[in-house]
Amino acid sequence: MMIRDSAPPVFGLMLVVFLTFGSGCTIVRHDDEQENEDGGISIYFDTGEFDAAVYVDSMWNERVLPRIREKAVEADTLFGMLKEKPDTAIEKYGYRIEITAPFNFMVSGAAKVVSVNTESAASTISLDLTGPDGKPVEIQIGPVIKGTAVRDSMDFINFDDFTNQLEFANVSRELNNKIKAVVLNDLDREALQGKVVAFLGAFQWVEGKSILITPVELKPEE
Amino acid sequence: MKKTAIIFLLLTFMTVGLWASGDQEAKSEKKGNTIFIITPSHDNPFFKTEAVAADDEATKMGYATTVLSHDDDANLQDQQFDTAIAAGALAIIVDNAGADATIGPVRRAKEAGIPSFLIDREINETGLAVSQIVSNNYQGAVIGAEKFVELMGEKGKFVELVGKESDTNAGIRSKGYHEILDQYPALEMVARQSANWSQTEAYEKMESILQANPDIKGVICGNDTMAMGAMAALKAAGMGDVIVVGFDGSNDVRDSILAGDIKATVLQTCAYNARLAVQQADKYIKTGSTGAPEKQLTDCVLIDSSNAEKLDNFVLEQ
Repeated sequence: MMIRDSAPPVFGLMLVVFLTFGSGCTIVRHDDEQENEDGGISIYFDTGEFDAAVYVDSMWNERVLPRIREKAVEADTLFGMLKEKPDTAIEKYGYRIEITAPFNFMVSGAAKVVSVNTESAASTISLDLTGPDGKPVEIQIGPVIKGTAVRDSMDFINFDDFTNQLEFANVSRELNNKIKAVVLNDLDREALQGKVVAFLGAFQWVEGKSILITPVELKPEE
Repeated sequence: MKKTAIIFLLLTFMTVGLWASGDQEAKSEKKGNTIFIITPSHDNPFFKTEAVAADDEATKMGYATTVLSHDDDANLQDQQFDTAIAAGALAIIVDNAGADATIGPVRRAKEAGIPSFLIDREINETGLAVSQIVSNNYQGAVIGAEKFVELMGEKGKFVELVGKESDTNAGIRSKGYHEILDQYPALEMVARQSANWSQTEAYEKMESILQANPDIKGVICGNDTMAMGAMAALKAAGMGDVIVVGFDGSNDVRDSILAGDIKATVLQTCAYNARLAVQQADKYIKTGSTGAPEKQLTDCVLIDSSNAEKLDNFVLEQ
């Protein structure tokens, strides 16, 4: 009886070990361990069956970038329209995942960097480009990236396709991690001041609030 | 020989019994005009608001209602689903008692032809409930934590009070908080304890945490009742200027924010979600479809001194 009771977990563990090391990719389950280290509080709900990093890896180049490149609206046009005719802009270019959420937009352009703001870990650059609220448009340069604008601009990423909101949230986290790794890591932050940058990205729009773009491409012009 | 006969007789009775009860259920299904509304305890104003809003919406639409509380007890919820099934309910609106424990009863209801509409908390399975109108607790925790980080100036010692560990939302909120907090190396968590959603427990836990950590700068809490408890303990210790952030958007915390004590909370639009669930149930009853995807997220709203005035009973005036 004792042996039979303990057999399934051992088998399960072997399976996990096999899957982890046998498949050639590393599945990092840091969430659970981290929670357990914090005063022994164990968190219920996370099934751990879904690997958001693998999911994001599999579609970053194939679906995310192509979709933003295809759908992005030129910055001057978009911000002008959001100021003059927001309803038209929303109808033409806006996307939201649910009726209580703000709309998201995809945008592209090139503008001069007027300031590099690094006093917060959620650093930004301010552009020589005016948003619909009359204030300078900003781009996030990390290391902390706020919000879920990139995930929520993708019409092929639906909450309905995930087991629960943790999985859905992890997709956004991994998209932001991807941005840190491929867009922001090699960025020479100090050299940005005064330079013209070409950008491609997404933002969440709330009327009257400043525009904060999450970039998927950000390149200082030579 | 005798034994076989008895078993045969028993089997015959059982089959007839099943047949009969199945028939009865089928009949009563057609009879009902009642929507069942099942939520956690109404002692918590959040769940009371949810139940009252659903009840009001359903009554307005001409349905009879049965309003029940499962008190976060999965067994009690099981019985209540059975009651609804036996009564031939038209629909069940439920803020459930557990992401896994609720899968069974929702499936039983579905098999009996009764649709379930989940509000607030989701279950780990799709294709059983017709709608899962889920409060985006994760997004709410993220905006709460972002405000907390801002108030803390991105650095300093803090404490986290976690809700009941078995509760889905306790886990989601804590994860959402840490998603943000862990990105700031100068923020140091000196204690993380569960106060089980309780004000008294939060007071006691906070009191003892303060003895070991008299230099904390902030406390982030998984709900408003714990925030109220923590604030009371801090004030009793002469540390009323410590930054406290809650979650739910209760009137108590609203008043505390307006008094300058607690700094912020996060509102879930529970009344809106409950009414939306009833509207979808109505549409489903009449047309066989809600026209919406099963899983629907509704965003939370940050409440601080700038908008606390407009908050009343979990509804933010526009």
